[in-house]
Amino acid sequence: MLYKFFSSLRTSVYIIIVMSLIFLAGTIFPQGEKIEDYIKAGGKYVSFVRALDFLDIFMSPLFIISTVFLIVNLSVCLYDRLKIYLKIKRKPVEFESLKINPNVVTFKHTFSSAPSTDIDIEKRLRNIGFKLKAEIQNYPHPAVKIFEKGLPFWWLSWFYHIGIILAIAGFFLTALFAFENYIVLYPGKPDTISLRSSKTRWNQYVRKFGMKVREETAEDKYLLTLKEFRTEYYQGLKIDYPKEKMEKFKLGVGLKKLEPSTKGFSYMPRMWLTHLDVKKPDGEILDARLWVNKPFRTGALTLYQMGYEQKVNLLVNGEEIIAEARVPFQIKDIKGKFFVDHLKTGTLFKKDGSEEKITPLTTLYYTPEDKPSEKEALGEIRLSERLKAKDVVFEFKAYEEGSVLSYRKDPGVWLVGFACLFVFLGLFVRSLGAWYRIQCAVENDTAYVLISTRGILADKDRIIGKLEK
Amino acid sequence: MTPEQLLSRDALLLSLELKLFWLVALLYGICFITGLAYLLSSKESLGRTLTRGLWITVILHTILILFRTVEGMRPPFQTLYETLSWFAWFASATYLYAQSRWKNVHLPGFIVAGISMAACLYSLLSRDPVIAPVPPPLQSPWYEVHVIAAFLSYAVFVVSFSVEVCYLGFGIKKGSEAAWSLQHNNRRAFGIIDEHFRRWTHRLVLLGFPFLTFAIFSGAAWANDAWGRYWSWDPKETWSLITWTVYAIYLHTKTIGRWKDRPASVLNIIGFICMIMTFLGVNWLVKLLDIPSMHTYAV
Ligand code: HEM
Repeated sequence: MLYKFFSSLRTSVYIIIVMSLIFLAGTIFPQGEKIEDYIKAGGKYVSFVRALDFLDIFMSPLFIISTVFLIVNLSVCLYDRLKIYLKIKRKPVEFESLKINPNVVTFKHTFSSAPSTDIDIEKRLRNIGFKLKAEIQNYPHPAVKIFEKGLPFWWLSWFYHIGIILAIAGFFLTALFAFENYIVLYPGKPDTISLRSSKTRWNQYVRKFGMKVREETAEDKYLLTLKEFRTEYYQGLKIDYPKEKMEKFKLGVGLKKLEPSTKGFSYMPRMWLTHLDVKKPDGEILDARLWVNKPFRTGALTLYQMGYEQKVNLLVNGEEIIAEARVPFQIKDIKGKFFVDHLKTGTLFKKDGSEEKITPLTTLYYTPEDKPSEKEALGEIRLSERLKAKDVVFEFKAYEEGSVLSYRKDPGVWLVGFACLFVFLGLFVRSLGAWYRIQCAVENDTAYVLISTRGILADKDRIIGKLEK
Repeated sequence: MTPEQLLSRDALLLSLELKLFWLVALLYGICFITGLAYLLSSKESLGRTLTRGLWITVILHTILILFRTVEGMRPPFQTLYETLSWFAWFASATYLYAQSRWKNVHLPGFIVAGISMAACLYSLLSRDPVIAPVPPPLQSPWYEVHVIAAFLSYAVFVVSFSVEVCYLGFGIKKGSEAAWSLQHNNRRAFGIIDEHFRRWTHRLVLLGFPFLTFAIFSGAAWANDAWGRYWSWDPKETWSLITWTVYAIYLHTKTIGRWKDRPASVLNIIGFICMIMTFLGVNWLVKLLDIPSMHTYAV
């Protein structure tokens, strides 16, 4: 009974429907939010959301149970199909029903010089790659034979369903054992990271059951020393494109001309690059270079370029202030707050193909005390220059730039990657690859041929053409 | 060249491109209207005009995309302005390929033309066409593969949807005998006479599904290189998974006797809606519900 339930394709349809609904809920309810914040923000159906863990739905019991159901369903179904596929029986149709099938194609004996059409059709089928798979002799009617060509689609389908199980196994490995963290490296300030975390889900469960979790040791530590961090910019030259729909239409029909922007140019990020030394737990030192989309991998450790952090040293009315980009600071006796924007420094790649070293510059902003959401640009300030605003003199004395790197250890990623590629290839070949089954019989001067196909590239007419030739 | 000269050149090229794009949108519009006239009159000559019109439009649209590729010195699929244009092109080109295999059936072309026109107009009226340099997170070969696979799958789903709608519109047995024969005559008038045509909905989804699978896979591979996390349950990612599962359900119902027909058709249409949600609706949902999303580059 249970076996029948789990080997049924209908069951899988119901399970996948439930999973889609859970995914849908996951895009509507704010994932990762605390229930108190959800209530504060006016969230509805609180008891329902709490009971079903809708704010962490992809680790909720509901989701895990559905996934387990899917795996059981898939496994049982695959086992069931394996039994069928291993001793697959091809049973040709009865001659009488073949003859009257509306899709049957007939060939005349006359097109052949061979002594018997039977031999002729078979020869032709073999010549174009068909293999005889089954035959039934049903006297007094002629024999009906099955020929096939192409990769058996049911095996392809079976294999990529195996791939789905492997991918889900990989997701579980990630969910249980992966962990990630980030580090900010400044020049001259080496720091260590560890690839062992007591905070993975697995370790949390282990602790819940009262067992001991192995803590970090010196053997797990990597020492990272920043050698260089660099930012690169494009010269963002702009064209003024109108915002109103009517103006856009006028441009399209030639009633208006496009003009270069009057705002000058902007700095647009081109790349962030880090050069560092990685000292492995065994003492080996590696020279590592990485940038966005180009992580550095060594053994179990992978480092990613996430971004950067900048600090600007300002001399304000004789007092030194270290301002972090976009973090507000206050000045004695002055109401409201100030902040500096991200610093522009590094290399500028200009539109004409030339390069330029940027003299570090930033923009200074002011936020009034009574309107904290507003910001007033006070002006640009370059390294070693001064800016007078709000009756204060700001001097840009120095700056520091740190590279923000993230690191991650994920034992599931290879399995997921391999399994998904496997699923994709299986699906792709199943969908495109041509598979043909031909049932045929010959009576007097006529050959009756019934063709069925699978796969987009299968072309019945081409086979008919080849048989007629 | 001075920066001013470079900018004037860019402005000139962009205005030429915009004129061509408006012309392409207009042509899609004309095809759509021709299709509507065909739907109302069932004159075959109008059907043929619709298909020929789409051929001309797609050729012009190809020139437009090549023009922008040269203008920006990179394949144009970075901003929503560009991807909407790709979407329209891919959908129409895929339709024309499929149509060449049906020969006498022209009706789904009007739905494809309508969708392509809407995509072009949305792009022209709501997005900024100015070519900007590629920001660091998008500088990955995975990104390009990801976008191409996604739009290939979307295109195939659009065509499957349009075939499904035509079949549903004229292929469903409605209550009385008289209504059925009327439907039947209508189907005949549009050349939709056998199951062969209808089987294309299934075949197309079978083709689009691996592309969508690869789009999700390459997106995850890209995220794995960029952030070190291949899956973050970001709304766009989750919606792509919803679309994927809905089409998986559709493919399964196609192998279950009693669900093959109407339930499968309904699922195909739900799949199409989910695809549009993944492509465009998520941005709107993210704003509406104030959900943080990492997929804001393509906006
Ligand atoms: C997320 C889960 C699943 C996905 C994405 C999936 C995907 C697919 C796809 C795309 C097809 C159609 C391709 C074809 O016609 O060959 C298919 C067919 C099929 N699936 Fe699944 N499937 C899933 C789960 C399952 C489960 C749990 C079962 C077991 C009951 C199952 C059994 C089948 C069977 C029997 C077919 C027909 C295969 C054939 O025509 O040979 N699938 N599946």
